[in-house]
Amino acid sequence: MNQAPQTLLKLLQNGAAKCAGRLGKLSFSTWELDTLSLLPGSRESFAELAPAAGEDHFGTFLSAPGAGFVVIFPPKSGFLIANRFTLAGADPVDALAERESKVLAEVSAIIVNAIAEVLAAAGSQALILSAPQSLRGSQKEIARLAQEKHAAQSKISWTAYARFKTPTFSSHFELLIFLDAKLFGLAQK
Amino acid sequence: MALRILVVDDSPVSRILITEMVRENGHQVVAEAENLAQVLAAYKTHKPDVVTLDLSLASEDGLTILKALRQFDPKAKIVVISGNSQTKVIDEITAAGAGYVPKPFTQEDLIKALGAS
Repeated sequence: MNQAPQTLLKLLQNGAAKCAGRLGKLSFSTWELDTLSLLPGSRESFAELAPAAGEDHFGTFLSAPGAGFVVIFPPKSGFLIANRFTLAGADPVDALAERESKVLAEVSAIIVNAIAEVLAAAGSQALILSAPQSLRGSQKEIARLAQEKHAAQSKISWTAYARFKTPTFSSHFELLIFLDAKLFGLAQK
Repeated sequence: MALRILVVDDSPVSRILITEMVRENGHQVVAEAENLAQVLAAYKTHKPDVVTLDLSLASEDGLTILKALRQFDPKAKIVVISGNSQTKVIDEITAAGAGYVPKPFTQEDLIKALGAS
């Protein structure tokens, strides 16, 4: 079995810390990295995620050249983060259809950019994220849909899984990162 | 002085938040756009004092719009609002003569950047 490349793991830990910091700032709460793992190839089982029969979660998929990202919020933290992030424009935002999905898509773009930043710096290149795409379903359904979207653009070489938790409202969120061989090689240098 | 602002962002949430923040400070969003064609059309029609620009758009990336707008009007006042804080990207923004506000941002961050643009 391949061992997780330590350079990339450290890089992702650094990015995850920035990601947690950004989410804390925008949601007036405290977040920390709970778990981070890195495995070769794409994933079929998503063993870390809850069973397919779980309640619907809020997912957001974003991509950049060589990388795909999916952020998965459970209903509890998704709802609370959406409320806290939109305090400045609460009434007009409340009138939006699929409010939580739209707010969490914006939130996800902000926090994923923190990870993209460390990957870009390691590869000495600019990584501009795509516009976010919202996904609904169980965690596994969202992960599978995101993986399919990314695999259609690029062959997945490594997949990272990160889980974040907050004591502020006893909840969590999850992030999957799909990397192609070229970006992986650049990030490992 | 009240500013007339063109907001370029394809997130309805971002557009609402920016609109509410500037309105509370006496400024006005005169138009919104989501792609290059809309940006140029709105810019010609409304002649805004400032353009706020997101980088991650579904149509084309914001740097492409920034360069096109700068070519159309070398004196356009543009503030990029983005979660992308990569050095190479910020260098391009600065080289194009635009301001930059990192996301997440506060009302104070936004108003200060608009005033400095």
